[in-house]
Amino acid sequence: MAAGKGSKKRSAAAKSSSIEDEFPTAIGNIDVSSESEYASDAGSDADVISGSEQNFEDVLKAMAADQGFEAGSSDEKEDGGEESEIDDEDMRKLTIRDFGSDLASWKAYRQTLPQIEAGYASDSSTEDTPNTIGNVPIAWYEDYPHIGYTVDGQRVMKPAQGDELDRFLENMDNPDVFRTARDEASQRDVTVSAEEIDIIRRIQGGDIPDAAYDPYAPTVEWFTSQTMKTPVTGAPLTKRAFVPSKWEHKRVMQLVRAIRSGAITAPPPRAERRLYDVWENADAEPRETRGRPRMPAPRLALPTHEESYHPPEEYLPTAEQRAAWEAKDAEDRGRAFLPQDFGALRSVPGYERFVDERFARCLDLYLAPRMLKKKSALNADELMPRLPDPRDLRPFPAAEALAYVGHTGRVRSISVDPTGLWLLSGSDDGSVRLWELVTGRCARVWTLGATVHAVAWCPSADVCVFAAAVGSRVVVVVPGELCDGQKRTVSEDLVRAGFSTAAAEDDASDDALPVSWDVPPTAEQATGMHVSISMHKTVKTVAWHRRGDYLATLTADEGGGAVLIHQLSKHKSQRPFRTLKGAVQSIKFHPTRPWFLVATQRYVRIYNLMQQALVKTLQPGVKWISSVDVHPQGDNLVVGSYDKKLSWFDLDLSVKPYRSIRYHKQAIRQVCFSRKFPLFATASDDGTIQVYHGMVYQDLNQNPLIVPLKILRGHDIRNSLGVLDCLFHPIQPWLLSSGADGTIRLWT
Amino acid sequence: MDTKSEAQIQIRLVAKQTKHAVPSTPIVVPQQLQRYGLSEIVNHLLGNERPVPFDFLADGQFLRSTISEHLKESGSSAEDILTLEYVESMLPPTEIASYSHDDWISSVSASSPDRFVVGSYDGIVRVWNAQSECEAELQAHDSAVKCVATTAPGSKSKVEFISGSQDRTAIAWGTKGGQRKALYAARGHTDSIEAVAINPTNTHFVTASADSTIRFWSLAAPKKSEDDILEDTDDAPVSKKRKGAHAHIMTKAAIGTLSGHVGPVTSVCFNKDEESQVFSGGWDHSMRTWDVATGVNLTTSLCDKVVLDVDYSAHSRLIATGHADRSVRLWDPRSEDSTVVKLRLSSHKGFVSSVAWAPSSAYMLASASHDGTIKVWDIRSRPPLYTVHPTDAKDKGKKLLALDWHKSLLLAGGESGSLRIHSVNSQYDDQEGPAEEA
Repeated sequence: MAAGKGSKKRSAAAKSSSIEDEFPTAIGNIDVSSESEYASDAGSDADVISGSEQNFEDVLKAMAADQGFEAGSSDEKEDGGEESEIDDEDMRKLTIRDFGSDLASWKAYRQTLPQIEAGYASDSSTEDTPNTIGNVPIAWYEDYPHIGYTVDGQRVMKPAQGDELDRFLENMDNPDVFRTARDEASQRDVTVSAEEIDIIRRIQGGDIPDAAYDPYAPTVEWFTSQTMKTPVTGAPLTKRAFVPSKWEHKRVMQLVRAIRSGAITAPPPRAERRLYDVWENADAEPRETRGRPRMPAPRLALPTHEESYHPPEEYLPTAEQRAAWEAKDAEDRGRAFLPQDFGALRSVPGYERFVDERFARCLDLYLAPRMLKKKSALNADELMPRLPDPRDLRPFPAAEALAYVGHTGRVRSISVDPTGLWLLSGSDDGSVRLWELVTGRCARVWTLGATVHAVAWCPSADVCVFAAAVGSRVVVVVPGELCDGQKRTVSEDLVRAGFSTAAAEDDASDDALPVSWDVPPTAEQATGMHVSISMHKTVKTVAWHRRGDYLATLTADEGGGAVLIHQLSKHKSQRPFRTLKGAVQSIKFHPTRPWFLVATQRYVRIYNLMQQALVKTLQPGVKWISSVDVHPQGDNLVVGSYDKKLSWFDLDLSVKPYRSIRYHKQAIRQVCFSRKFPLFATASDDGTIQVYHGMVYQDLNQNPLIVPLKILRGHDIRNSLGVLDCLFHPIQPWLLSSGADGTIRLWT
Repeated sequence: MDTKSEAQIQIRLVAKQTKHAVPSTPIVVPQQLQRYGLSEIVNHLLGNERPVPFDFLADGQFLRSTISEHLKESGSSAEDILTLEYVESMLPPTEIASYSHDDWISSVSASSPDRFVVGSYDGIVRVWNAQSECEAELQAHDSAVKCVATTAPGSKSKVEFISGSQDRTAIAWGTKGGQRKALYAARGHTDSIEAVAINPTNTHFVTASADSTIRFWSLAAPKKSEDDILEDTDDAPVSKKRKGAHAHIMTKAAIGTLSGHVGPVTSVCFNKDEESQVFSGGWDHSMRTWDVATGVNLTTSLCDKVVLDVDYSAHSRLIATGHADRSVRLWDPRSEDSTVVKLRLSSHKGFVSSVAWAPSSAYMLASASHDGTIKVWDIRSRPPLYTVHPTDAKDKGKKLLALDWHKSLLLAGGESGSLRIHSVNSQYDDQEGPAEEA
């Protein structure tokens, strides 16, 4: 609208020379209504065709001077301008509100306001020819005053044209005539400026039209040409980089609204997933699964310092260790690698044995036992009877102290006198020797001329008498030098007293017994032999009753005649058993009761001599009994046998052995109890003597305790005969033994 | 090992014998030194031309190993100064003579360095002099002589020595009319007399017997035969029997009888400090102290093993006993507590049949054993100082039954019948004993 008016003004101005009537209002309208709004058009015109515009201004001024009121209006205009400048500060304060509904006065006021310089002077983009006739020959408008129409349909008037002369004169005057061309569309002369000529030249020369453009300006390197490790960009930030995104904001606001309106609601809370700790019970006890305990897989050993890639120095092998390790076979090396120091983990190479070890581990797991095998909780030690330590059972004989050397044959029997000072021994060399027990001094020798099978001291403390079985007779000896005069007299009296009484009763007695009590020859009497009891068969054993008056002998007879009991004081002999089954091996008086023990080949029979009755028959379960001895308290006895077995009987318990022990390698020859200590010993043909602790308790409910204590070795074996007799010392915990090697030994 | 051998210690050497004294300033010696090295040092300090061997005592015990081992055993620090007392070493006893007998020797006693009385199992008491001459062969016993005892020198008594025998008598021998003969026979025991001892002042003697009694007799010869006293009691048949070879010997009866032992009494000796006290040991494993004046058994100490010999030392005031368990025990008779066995010395391989204290030392004693060796002990050292083996091949392994230490002579005899006389160096006269300190 405004532009239309502007162009109308111009056209009016151009036409003013030709049609004067129509112009004044038109010009006046233009000035009043839109001076500020068309300034741009005016400026642009001036820019492009300044030369011709200058002419138009001149023309307009001349026209205004002609019309008369033109000046007035310009005065008015200038007055207004002056007013506005004077009251500039006051006027600026007025706004449309100050005028209220009085728009007309506001419009008037507005016209007083100074024009605003919009600053479009340099802008040529809006240049447009007002003529809208298009690309038609201008010759069609030769006959008309106008040369075309504006967009509003207004005529565009022909500019005033001079004649040829004017043109000539003008060309003559105009120095820029050579740069001036005729624009047929607008019917104007256009002068090309020097810059435009320069541009034209550049285009024609193929150069860049813009003279300000420097094609050789230094390069601004948004990205550097050099290769950098961390390249950075020097590119300027985009606006987007620091301005909040509008679209995001819109989107957010959309969501916010949706949330507010309830279109978007929070999702329902998801059920939390339960996580299972697979290794939770790895260390716990294996669970019972169907009664069978589960077996955890065998664990790998934790790595040690040696397996470290950077072990402490002391773990690194020295050169010798390395050499020694390498020299060994793989299975002897202990560990399959040598500690190595790599310094850093990244330097560690691949482990060449990795696959081997994984495979071995897999094998381990594959072959590992899957089930726990219940082992029996019994161990051998618990099964063994709990026996006290032999060291706690001292004293007992443990070492050889003395050897009594002198006999030239087997020493078949030994005996210690009741005081414990003297030792008696009978040997195959036909002699009986008396030894001082402590020193081993042979105090006396009786040479008797026949094998001495047995010697036995009379157990009575009042007398000093012993009996020796020599061949088929028993001699009763009083070793006079061992006792003082009184004891000697008593002993001799006891031994000899029987001669007188026996002589008196001799006729009355039963002659069936093959026994004769004789006075030995004078030579023998001088050596202390006072009585000689002769029998028909060889006497094997002599056993004294504890009182010292009765003496039992065992001969090689068969049947009841083998066992005879002699009364020393009366020189009487009797045969207690009319018949006896089996070959008698050993006889013994019971130490406390009026009992008599007869050991046959298989059984031990106990007779009560007073009641003349059989008390008990013990069955040791052995094939051949060799010896028997009764515990000094009388309730227990031990039986030794040629089949190496030792049987302990508790007479109150049973006729079967309480305990059978077979430790000897050869036949047992003799068993004996200690009278004073809880000890017993067995002598065997294997040349050893075994000493046992045999404790009998006063409490009848408690079984006897038998503990093997010691094996005593020392006797030589001659003709497969070892130790023939053994005997405990009556007072000390010492043991005496005699052997086939002709020696007697004292063990302490 | 190197550092150990180079370790050193400061020691201070102390001597009680003034003739061997060295400055008491501590000296630094290697810890690896033993007796020999220390002895060399002392000899060097003394400047002896002929080295004298010394023994060294640390904390009252002989140094038998290196100093470092001693420190380890005693747990003492090597930083401290170790005080070592040194005494002149006893030289090993040397056998100087051997007198041969026909039968076993049961006992020996020397009255002077020139006179040795030997009792033998053949019943003969022999008197030898140092020139290997048998001065006398005295036969009055019917049976083996088991013990002899000589009177102390300077005796006013006529009795030179007493012998006890298995014939239950003890015979006192003396010189009468220029001839050595039996003065009287002490009768009364009913079993073998195992030991006899005469008191230091030569007034009384005691006999120990296998009849489990000890009898106390006066040494003086009786005016007349005291048979009647015995006959009053119980021994009538004996006097009848004695009509024989030795009937002329006067009989002496005991003053008192000490009964208490249960079993044979094997040995007896006087307390040399207290005349009326007697120590005895027997088969009942006891060591008893008796007051002979009153006949009271003062103390009884038990030790589980048969006592075979007893000897008392006036210097150390200790009793030494030989035992059937092959050991020598030392008893302190004055202590009241039950652990009266002060020390047990075991190195023998057989019964210790006889023990004898050194007459002039508080520490030395000798023991003879059935294993045929004599061992000389210093009670400050557990192992024996010397083990004397018989030089004669026929004596090897033969039982030794008798031992006596008289002055510098050590006499021993036994099964082999040879009286072995050894010389012990008399330089070792350590007068500084506990007897003096007490």
